[in-house]
Amino acid sequence: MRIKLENVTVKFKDRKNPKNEVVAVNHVNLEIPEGKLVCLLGPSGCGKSTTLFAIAGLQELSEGKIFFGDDDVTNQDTQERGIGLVFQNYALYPHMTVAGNIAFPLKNAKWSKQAIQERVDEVAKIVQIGELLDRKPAQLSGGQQQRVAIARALAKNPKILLLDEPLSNLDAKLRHSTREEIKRIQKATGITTIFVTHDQEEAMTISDEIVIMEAGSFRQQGQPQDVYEKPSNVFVAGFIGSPTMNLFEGRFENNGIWVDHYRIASHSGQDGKVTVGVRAESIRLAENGLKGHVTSVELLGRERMCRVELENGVAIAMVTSIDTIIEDESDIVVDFAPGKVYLFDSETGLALTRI
Amino acid sequence: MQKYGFRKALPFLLPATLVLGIFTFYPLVDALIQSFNRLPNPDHYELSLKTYQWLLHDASFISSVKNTLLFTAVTVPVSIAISLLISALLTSVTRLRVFFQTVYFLPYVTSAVAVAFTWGYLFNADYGLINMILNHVFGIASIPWIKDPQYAMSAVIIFGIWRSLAFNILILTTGMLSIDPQYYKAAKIDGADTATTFFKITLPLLSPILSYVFTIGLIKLLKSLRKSTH
Repeated sequence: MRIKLENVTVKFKDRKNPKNEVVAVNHVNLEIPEGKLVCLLGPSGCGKSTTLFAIAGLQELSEGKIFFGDDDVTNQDTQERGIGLVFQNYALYPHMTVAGNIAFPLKNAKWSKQAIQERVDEVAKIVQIGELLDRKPAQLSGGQQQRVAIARALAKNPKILLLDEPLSNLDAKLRHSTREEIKRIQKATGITTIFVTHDQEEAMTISDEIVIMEAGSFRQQGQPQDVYEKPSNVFVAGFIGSPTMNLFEGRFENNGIWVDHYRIASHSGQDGKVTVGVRAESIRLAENGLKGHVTSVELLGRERMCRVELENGVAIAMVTSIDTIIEDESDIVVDFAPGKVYLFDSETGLALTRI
Repeated sequence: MQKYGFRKALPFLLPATLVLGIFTFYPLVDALIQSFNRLPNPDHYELSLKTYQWLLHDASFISSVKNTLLFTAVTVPVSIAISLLISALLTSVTRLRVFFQTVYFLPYVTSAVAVAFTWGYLFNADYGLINMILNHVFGIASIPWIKDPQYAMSAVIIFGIWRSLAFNILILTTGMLSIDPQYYKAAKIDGADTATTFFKITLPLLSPILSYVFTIGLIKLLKSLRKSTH
């Protein structure tokens, strides 16, 4: 089911000062393609969970419309929307067994006993919890509870599956395997899935498409590699990737683009300020360029990850191959790999070009 | 640590144990022992069931027990049912909730004398508000609530329910508010209607508090035997 958000806005009253309004989601327009796994990505408090709850119908809109396919569901109750939702801390009913939890939405939909039994067994098989059906949620590990929550969300064959930070309560190892698991289940069922996360690495690995939000506003949507390679603004550039993109204050001057005394490339046009972005892996040792002092070196197997403090005081991250010897506490000169330098408007933050 | 746990705990337990022992446990046990004494004389003990024989042949005691049991059996469940309904309504409002909670709790902190007077007037056969409503709204003839033994029990039960509502509502409302709202969101997602949500989510999650309210209610009302025999 294709999902479309039109001008969606959610405002809350400020608790401390009820006269003020907090805009949690600000005129967001976006389209989620059918059958894909899409991540809503952004830092804490960017409105991504609120957007998810708005899609679920648990959050009323202050403005705007939501469409499932061609149907306007803006004023539909949650119960009628036919969605499955996995909560951040699962919200499994503690007084029901695993089977009872999974069967609950089916009982509400007035399925026959026989059909419920079959469906419970079926989804339990999909998420591989067949042997846990008689247990209570308190007897399960975090990962198992997670699976039960997904099973419950999938039980009634929802048109849309929503997941609110589903991995944030799991330890690192489990997070990796559950990530794969969610991807597998999504592929197996082909159900349109929206996944909320603040972890850009998680979003990059799991999703078909990423929607990036910041401060209640939509920033960019695209396939993970596209978002990484073609950030449409400074925020996305600084948010996606690990380490994050190095950002410099630069300028157009004398037919060139400059960071300090380093002329990156030629440029024709008006003089002025510009924001220059370079990923850590696009910074190289050079004869001419920016002078800096290495403050730390980490060896990461195939790579060498250095922190460098430039002459002008800016600290940058630099990743080189393990064969490039860079000593800690040494003075070096770096430049930027051609074709890998991003320019952003210093006022609006929007991407200009790549040189 | 564990080995010396009890010995270390003893000095801390001693004061409370002493007070409880002297004023609660000793009288309790002594009363039981004395109940088997032929005559109520602590200096001369003669094992006998006379007290119990006398009690079981005492018509007013038997009727007191019967009345107390009936009173408790009706009042506790009805009061809890009404309290549940009111608490559910209270928790569903956000505005003025504290105000209403206070209003419902007032009977609990009101002087018993004032309450008795007020209900005395309400139940009055000739000019009481209850009969007035019965006469004028429902067209039912006046009922001699307190004078006629036939109706007195109903009057006492109505009063008992009203009296116990305050405490029950306070506890149940607090209990309902402490249920994680995520369960209600999940229930919505799972397509549960209001009634299903109440019976399948709220009630089970409230069950520890329900059993507390039920037990306290039973104890309180069964103890009213003491009052009714006097």
